[in-house]
Amino acid sequence: MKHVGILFTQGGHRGVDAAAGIDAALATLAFDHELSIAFAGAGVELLAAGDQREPHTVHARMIAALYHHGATRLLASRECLDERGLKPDFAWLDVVPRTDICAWLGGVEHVLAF
Amino acid sequence: MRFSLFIQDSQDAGAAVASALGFARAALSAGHSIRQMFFHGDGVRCAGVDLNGDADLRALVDLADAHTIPLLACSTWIEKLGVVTVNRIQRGSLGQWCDALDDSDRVVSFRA
Repeated sequence: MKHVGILFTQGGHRGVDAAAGIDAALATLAFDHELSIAFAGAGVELLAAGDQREPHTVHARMIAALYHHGATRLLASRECLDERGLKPDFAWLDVVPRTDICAWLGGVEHVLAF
Repeated sequence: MRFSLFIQDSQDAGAAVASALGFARAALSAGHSIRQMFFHGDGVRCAGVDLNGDADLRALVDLADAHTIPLLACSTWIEKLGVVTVNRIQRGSLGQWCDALDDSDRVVSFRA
């Protein structure tokens, strides 16, 4: 089994990308691959919960569920969060310097970007 | 090296298909192999395109046929987007994609 990394770089305004990434993440877990997930650029906006009915709030909840489904690590770029004034408070989320995202990219076997 | 290609945008939404075609040609001509080409998200719209109307997509499908590379479009997204499949791109599942991950050295994603 491979270690698959899913990188979200698009915000909630590209709804297809977020939904497609979550689908791919669930399938990866279902087929017993190791999965870790990173958020960079506008992708960190997926971690911001808003109004209950907004699509990106639904995405944020589904992303939170990925940790409980077995994703081994979820990490977000501190710089990208700070640029957008976002402070997600999730115990399962590692907020790391951008350089750590680069190191993470080097450590996974396959990367799917959404 | 064995590659799998993950195509995430339709042929008319940017350069995803053209880039995938260029990459596939280069990889095959350099002696590499391609395990699978998988269309996902908006990319599944490619399965509903008349190949006579899109040179890049037709060339990609012809290349896949010539090298017996499976060309699959995610059936969930086909249903979600209401795509009517009309060409040689087959319906596939994310399970088939996950199998390809196991058999591939590298995955390359293409989007607009």
